[in-house]
Amino acid sequence: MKGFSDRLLNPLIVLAHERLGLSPNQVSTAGFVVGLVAAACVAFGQVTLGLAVMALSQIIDGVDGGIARRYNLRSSQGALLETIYDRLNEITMFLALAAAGEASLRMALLAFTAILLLTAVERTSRFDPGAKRFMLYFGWLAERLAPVRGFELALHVVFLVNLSAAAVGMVITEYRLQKESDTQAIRDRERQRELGLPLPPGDPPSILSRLFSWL
Amino acid sequence: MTIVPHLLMTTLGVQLLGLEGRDIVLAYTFGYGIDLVDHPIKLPLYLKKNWTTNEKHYHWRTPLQEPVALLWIIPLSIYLGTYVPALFFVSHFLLDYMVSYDKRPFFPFSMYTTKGILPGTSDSLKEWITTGLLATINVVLGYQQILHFMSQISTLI
Repeated sequence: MKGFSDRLLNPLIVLAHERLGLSPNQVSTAGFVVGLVAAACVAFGQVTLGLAVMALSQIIDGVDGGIARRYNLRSSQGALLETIYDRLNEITMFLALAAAGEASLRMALLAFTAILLLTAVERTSRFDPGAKRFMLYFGWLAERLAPVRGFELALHVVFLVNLSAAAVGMVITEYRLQKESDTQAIRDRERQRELGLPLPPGDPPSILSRLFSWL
Repeated sequence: MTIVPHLLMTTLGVQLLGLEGRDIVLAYTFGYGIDLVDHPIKLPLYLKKNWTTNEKHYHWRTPLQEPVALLWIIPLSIYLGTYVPALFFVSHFLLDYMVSYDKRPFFPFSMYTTKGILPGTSDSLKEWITTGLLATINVVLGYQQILHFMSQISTLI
């Protein structure tokens, strides 16, 4: 997916880095500022314009990562900065929607809480469905297609998807840890068997293990 | 703890709080049902390691039923507009923390491991006492409800 977006944004990546001499962090900052402008547009009632500016901000967001990958400028500080900018852009956009009366403040805060939780978990789980600001375009579309509060609906989706992803992410991380420890235990047991060493005595059979053995 | 004290605890909570409709479903989901989702997750790993032999202290738990899950259960409770998921989930893990197998309450944010409350006391003793106590209170409450119901019928007649 990143490779595809890098190919798509290649002219912009070359322009920003080679012609304009911008670093990934400078591009991230530019994307963040454009994101703030988008939120300001929404807060002042210019929702469609705001979403168009937000799209521009998200394109710029793709360019900074592209520069970092293409020119081998990746750094943990750069990744952290991008995450902070993304979260700040999300909360300002959600609050702007609430200020414009397009969504409730309660849903804006809940959706952002779920995103924050997912961000904390994603660091170890590497699982992120990516349903954040992007869902707002669907909200905008829904409002034009049906008599619904599209942005409120979009925030419900953002909340539920990110919250579920955080819960699943925690399980994924723990499952990986358990798998690693089990694999090590199996390897140790096999090594002991190969060396002809006595295996430690197992636990006495439980009702369940008896049942499974019988089956 | 095994399924029996969890079921009894949830039933007790439902009775005490006089829950109805959706709240009963949420109470049983977070007070008991979370076990039905959580343990099967580790089943493939257990079978791969032990097949049908018993490993008493296998780490069956995932963060789904550790206190860290409150990080998503509390926002969910706020979203649903009811305290029931958070409350019954707390009752679930408190019972689990009475038995002394290893638990990682804050994983993936911390590797801290604990054996829970009163690790020196026999697990089966704790389980029998808890089950007996919960069963008794449930019966007493249920009995009072039956008496109340009977008295209402007699006044109608």
